[in-house]
Amino acid sequence: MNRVVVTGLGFISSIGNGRAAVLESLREGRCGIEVMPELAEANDRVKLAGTVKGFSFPSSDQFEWTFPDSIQLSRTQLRTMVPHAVFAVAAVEEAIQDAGLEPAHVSTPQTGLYCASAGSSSMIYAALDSVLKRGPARTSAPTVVTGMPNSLHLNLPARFGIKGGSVGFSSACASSAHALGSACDLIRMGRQKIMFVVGAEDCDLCNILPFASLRALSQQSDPAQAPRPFDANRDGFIVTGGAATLVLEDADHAAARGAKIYAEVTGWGQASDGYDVVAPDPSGGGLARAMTNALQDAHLDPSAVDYINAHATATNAGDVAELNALKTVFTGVNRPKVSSTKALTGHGLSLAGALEAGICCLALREGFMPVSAKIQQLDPACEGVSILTSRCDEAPRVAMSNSSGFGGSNVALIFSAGS
Amino acid sequence: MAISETRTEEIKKSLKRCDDETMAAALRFEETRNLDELPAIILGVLQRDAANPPPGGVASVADDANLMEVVGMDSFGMMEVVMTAEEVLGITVATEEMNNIRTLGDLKQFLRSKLAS
Repeated sequence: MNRVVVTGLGFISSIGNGRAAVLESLREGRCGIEVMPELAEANDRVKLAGTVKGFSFPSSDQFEWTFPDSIQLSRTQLRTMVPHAVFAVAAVEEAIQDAGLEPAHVSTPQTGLYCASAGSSSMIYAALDSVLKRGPARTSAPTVVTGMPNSLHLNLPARFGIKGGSVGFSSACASSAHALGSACDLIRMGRQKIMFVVGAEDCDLCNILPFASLRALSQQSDPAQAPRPFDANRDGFIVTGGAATLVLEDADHAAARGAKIYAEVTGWGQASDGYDVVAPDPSGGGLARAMTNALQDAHLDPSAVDYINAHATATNAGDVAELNALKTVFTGVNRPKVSSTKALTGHGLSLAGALEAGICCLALREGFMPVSAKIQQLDPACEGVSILTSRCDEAPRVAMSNSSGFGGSNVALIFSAGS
Repeated sequence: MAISETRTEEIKKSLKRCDDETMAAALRFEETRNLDELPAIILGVLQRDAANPPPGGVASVADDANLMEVVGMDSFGMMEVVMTAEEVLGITVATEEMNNIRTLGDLKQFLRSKLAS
């Protein structure tokens, strides 16, 4: 089985656009959450969001959008874009540059792209509104692309000339973790040499408010107070958008071209709760099985894991389920340190898995473990789990990234420091 | 006859991002139905919707130029042009008619004959 390494990263996130900015925010514990005025105006339940800075999407008309000049999109390409696809183009471009990939590495049958998003709810809404109210004859043709849930997957392969396998994943908040694990398998089996893994989400009323209906979001208006994963008084999650890209590469292929290695993807596992449509199994059984499967896949003992980037979003039920899963799997003397970087970034939904996998790669390469921020009073349920209430400057050798989604899907990804 | 405010707004919306000259020509056409206004309207819309308009603008393109090759017009772009023509000129274009348009001359000739009939 071929070994798989991570050779490039790219980020557009609430805590910074680009690797350097993200790394600095993680080191400094800087949070990307703020009051989103249009959100506060639209409802009385949720006010905060992990906003993406430097972008503006005032309407469904792409030509009214503003984004950094460095993002190159022709008029033809822009016409079929959705907001999170613009984030994704920027993150993929950064990852290509970071990995030192030449055009011949990107556009070849040896290179594929797996991506994940929940689709652009606002663009789907606009497309349907137009076709139903104005009629098909008065609806712009590209809305057939922008109105599809897999519009990210429709746009990216064409934009980057991807010739290998490409799929859009949809398993709610585990989506981009599923994409990463599945991309890893393709390289292990020798079917691709390089895989781009992309997670992306919009950050607007249409993808935030439905979670407020579910009473899953924090009602705080002070970004210092929310979200607070693992805090006794946590009151829900905060949504964020953006994009994260990882370049996964066959280890021999990467070595042959002298590529920089962030980490090796040593294993991954998945399992389902089979319990409820949205509520997690309180025992954390599904996530525990996913972590155990990942450890077996990586041929690692639980004691080898130094750091876990938890899924913990700051919902009562979700955090407890994950704590129970951690207590089930990590029972020895040497237990991993755990943080949820969602306290800084917000919860990226389909983007979360890729974003946090990228954060694990930065932690492994830079030799630190990021803080689980904003904890004022640790939930007593955390007893026996080593939650990082401050940054740890010990260099982890093995890091795990957990993702759980509605539907009870769970994924654990394991990364080991490059040798 | 003076154009209603609603109709003026409709035309302006359809010609969003087109230059002032195109907008003015369309409003004059709405009032006079003078076919001589057509070239300015067509060129303005093409300039907006073409993927790769030449440096001199679409106005510099010869009538026998293939729209796909010379201005980078693709199927989505052509559909946008046709939808705009339908809205601004008050015509209906069949898919087959649209598919027969290959050059700038084809487009001009098609719209002129469509409006004359």
